[in-house]
Amino acid sequence: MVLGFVTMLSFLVLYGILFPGRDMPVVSEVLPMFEGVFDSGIWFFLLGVIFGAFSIIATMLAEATSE
Amino acid sequence: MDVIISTLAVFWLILAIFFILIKRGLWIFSDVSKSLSMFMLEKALGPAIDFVSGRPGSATTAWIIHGFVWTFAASTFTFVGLWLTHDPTALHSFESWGYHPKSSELIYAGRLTALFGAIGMMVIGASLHALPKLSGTNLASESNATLVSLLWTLSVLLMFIGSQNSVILGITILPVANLLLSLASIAIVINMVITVSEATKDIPFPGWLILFAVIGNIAAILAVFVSGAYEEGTGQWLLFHLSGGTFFFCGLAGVSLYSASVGSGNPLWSKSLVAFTLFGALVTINPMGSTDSSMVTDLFSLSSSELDATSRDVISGSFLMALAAMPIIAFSANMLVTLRGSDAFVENPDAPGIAELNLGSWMLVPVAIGALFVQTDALGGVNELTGISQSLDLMAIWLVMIPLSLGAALSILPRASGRHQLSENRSRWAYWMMTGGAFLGLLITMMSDFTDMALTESMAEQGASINDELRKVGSVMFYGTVVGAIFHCTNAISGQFRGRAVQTASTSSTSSISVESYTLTSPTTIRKILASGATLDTEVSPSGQSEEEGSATEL
Repeated sequence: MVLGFVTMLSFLVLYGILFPGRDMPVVSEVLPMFEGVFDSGIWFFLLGVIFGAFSIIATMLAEATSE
Repeated sequence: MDVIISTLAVFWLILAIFFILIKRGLWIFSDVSKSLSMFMLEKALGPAIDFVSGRPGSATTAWIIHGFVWTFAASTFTFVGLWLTHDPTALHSFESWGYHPKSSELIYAGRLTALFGAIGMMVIGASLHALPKLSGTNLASESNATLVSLLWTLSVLLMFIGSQNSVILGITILPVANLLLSLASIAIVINMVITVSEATKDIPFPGWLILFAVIGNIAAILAVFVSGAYEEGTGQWLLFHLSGGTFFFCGLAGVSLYSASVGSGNPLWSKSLVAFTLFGALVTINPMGSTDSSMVTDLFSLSSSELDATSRDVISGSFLMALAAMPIIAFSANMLVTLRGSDAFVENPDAPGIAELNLGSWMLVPVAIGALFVQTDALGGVNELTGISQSLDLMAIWLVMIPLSLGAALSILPRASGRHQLSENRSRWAYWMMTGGAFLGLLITMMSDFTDMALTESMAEQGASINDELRKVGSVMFYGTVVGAIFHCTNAISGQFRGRAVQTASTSSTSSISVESYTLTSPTTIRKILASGATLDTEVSPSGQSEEEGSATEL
């Protein structure tokens, strides 16, 4: 995970050097879709709720299939 | 017309008939009805009954795990509802999907899922373990009770949907949810009554509290409809509070007293107080809950009537609500002393559920007294305190009912499933998160309610900015409850698979049954003797031992 994160950052920096001032392909088109969505502080908490809900589901699946 | 007394008279009559039927049976038809009921619970369901496991404890485990998940859902809905009170457009992006979230609707969803999903399922789950133990028998049908948990969960899910969108495809959702819930309740009642009919000993009072919780709810509905009070605002208000006093109060009291005794290892402090709690809960009106009884009209599809009580109803209602303080204080005192045993401190505070039971018992009295003032104010038509009704109702749910039901569930789950929670440390964190979040969050929200009331009274043209700030802080604080519920869920689920196995069945005293004699085989402390369930009247019999070496018996 750490390796992936470092590689991603490296490529982002490299893209910025090679194509200065240009939007990111795909990502720059997807991000405007979320404009006006995360404009309230409640989303910070809702992300935690979503993470919690998935952790409960993941716990159920992982525990049931690990034996 | 005097609605309250006439309806209560019918309610008491129905309860008396139920009690006589349970004690005496149905004369020569008892065996036939028992066989028929067992057939309805199992064989009549066909292949559906084969989907679930019928091993001992499976029903309790299923109900309690469902209850934990609903606690998480209820806390989330309540948190979002509290947030939207100060920031109504926070979730406006959902409108592009056709969903228009409103604060009042989400708090209503939180109340419904907390009452019927979280508290209801944990109380019934704990009851399915406690009642057979107290009766000295096994649950009549584990399979049916497990299967019915799915039906109950489905009905709570429909309640959530109905609270957001009352009519879908021309069908009013909440009455359908109530119908499914009633069906599940009847199955549970039949299961419990058959279990009790096989009792091998006298049922102690906590067992009767559990029985009257499930039967009393049905009796309350029957009484209000038979007396015709369902059309009046006072009748609808009364049904809301009779259900609160029977299913919720009696149920919570029964499983909490059982769990406090079993969990702490101490016998119940006073059996007389348990009997008084049972009697008092049935003859008085429990004041806890909202002043708005729209939940009753929504669930039963009734036309909502304004609460316009006659002077005689105001007097009798206020008197009976004030009288309810006695069983409430009796129950709270009995719980607190039982948890402490003969000491000044809780005997084993690290045992699962004990901290929650302690919190619920502490908070019960102040919340009930606050509710008494608010309800008397609403019944009398003064409506000066209606502004804090919602916050007080949420306090009753999150600081009294959820801690008591959660405490009982945490205490009983290892005994039913055979495995402890995965981590005691995570359980303790979850307790502090839930307690801190609910207490601080709702207290600060109530402070904002008081400010609102003061501004309304002074007819101020602009609201105070501090009010929004307070509501914001209150909702953020309440988020701790959501995090605590997530901790409890993952801890309980993982515990079912990897938790430390419960080595032996608990040999400590069960509920109000104290040990009559105690055989002393080795030196021990008086504390250990008392912790095993002995009282001052227990006869201690030293067992004779010899230190000499043994040898063959001479013939």
